[in-house]
Amino acid sequence: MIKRSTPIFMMPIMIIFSYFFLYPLVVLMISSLYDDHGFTTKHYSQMITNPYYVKGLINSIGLSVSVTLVALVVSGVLAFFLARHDFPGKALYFTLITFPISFPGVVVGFMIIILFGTTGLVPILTQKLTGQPSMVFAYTIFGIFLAYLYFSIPRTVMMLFGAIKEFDYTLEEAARTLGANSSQAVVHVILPAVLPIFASAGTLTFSTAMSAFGTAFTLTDQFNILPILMYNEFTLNFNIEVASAIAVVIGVICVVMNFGYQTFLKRGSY
Amino acid sequence: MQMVGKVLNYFLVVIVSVFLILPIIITIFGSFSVYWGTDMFSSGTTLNWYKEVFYYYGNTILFTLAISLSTVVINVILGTLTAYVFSKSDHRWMNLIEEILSLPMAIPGVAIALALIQTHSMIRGSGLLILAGHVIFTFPLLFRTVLGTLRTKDFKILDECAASLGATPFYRFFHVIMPAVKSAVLSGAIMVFLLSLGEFNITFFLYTPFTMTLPVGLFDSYSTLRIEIGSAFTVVFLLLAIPLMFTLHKLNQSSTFTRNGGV
Repeated sequence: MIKRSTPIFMMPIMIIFSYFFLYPLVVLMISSLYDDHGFTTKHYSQMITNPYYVKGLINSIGLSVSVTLVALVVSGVLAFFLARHDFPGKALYFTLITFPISFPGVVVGFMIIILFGTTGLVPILTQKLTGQPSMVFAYTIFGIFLAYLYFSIPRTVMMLFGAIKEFDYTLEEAARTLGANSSQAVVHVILPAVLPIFASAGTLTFSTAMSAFGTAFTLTDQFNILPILMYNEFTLNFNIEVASAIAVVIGVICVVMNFGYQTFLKRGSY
Repeated sequence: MQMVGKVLNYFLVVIVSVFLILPIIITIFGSFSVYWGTDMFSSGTTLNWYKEVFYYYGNTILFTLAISLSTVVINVILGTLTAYVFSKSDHRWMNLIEEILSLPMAIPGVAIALALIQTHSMIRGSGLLILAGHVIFTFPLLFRTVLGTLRTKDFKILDECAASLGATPFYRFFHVIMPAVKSAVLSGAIMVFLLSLGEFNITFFLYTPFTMTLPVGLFDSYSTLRIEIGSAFTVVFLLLAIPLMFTLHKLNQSSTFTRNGGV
């Protein structure tokens, strides 16, 4: 029941949210449906007909899907390793590898420049060894892919580790006593139990990658993914209606994924 | 076969750890070296890059701290108050409102930014629009953390229990509610500060040369200045973030922070 005092307590946040969040979002949606001549849906239809925007959409989804898949595998290995081994300095190690969660995208991009930029560690080392700098891929699609992995892996490890360490290992031992070898135990006993958390971690990683902007923008403003496309429409072409439509498309994809994540969370009892 | 799998596992763990940790270490070393090159310290060490950072970006850092601290104060008050109201009610409408209040976590920063700049561009110059964006974007983290604690602690019963024993609402707030949510509010506040401190995607659309924040400054230094200065500026950010992230780990709340999508 809503008590009489509730409306007063709720007032400040409702006013702030309405004025600085809901109202702007409505304006964003309306402006994506208009051009100089009035109402139109062409900004959305060109997203699936104009090759330029189609490519941006495909790039964004392809990048996010591949980052999600690789991050899940790598983080899964790391999370199982952490759950099963005790070693001195484990807490510090865990703190270190999950520290990049606090990095803004620009810092993530810089970390890739440090490793694979023109004066990055790997190119400098290869120059020392072979006389020719190689593997300068910070400013390419592969650099963006690595940067997205850089922010995805710590997040995914954190989510998976939470679930995996609470997994009941007596179940695995039971499977082993019944004659399963360790890989059979992993495939038939452990994976089915932790699969829901993999699915929800995957949806979260995917939507984080879909909406990422600063990371890619630090490396290049040339590669066509939706957030960069949106920025260019807004600042270079002053085409605020098209930019709004792109923003709505990214937003809808992320919100849908987010609801998927919550449904998974409710179903798997984690 | 088992052996090969195990070796492959360890190899992967080592590679990923190096990939995540090594660039941070190189950034720290590089910020002290006179010349960034094959032998990091062949030309000696220096603190000059830090001087340059504070010369170019001193005001940026101060402005960022002002924005982030204001965001924390506003959201601690708003978030705790709102979570308190929600914990006492399970009305159908409240569930919908709760979803709406959590929405900024799901909607990309660039979309929020584009929406804000179309509606409130007149207050852009003062930096208030950046503050509003940060408050909206970071609100769900604190709100949900506090609300989660209030719901798990069966706090309603405690509150009613204290009331039936004759405690006034004022006494209850300070002796029942506050102790119960203290650590949740603290970790929520840390997350809000960290998120606001590193916020780039929204701020990049809203800043003016006079209202630049730290991540925008970082971007600016990466694209226009020497890599040594960029490194030193990054280390300044790390110095602000490391103690907070460490506290978050100690409070066991760092997993909540994985919902931070600001990259």
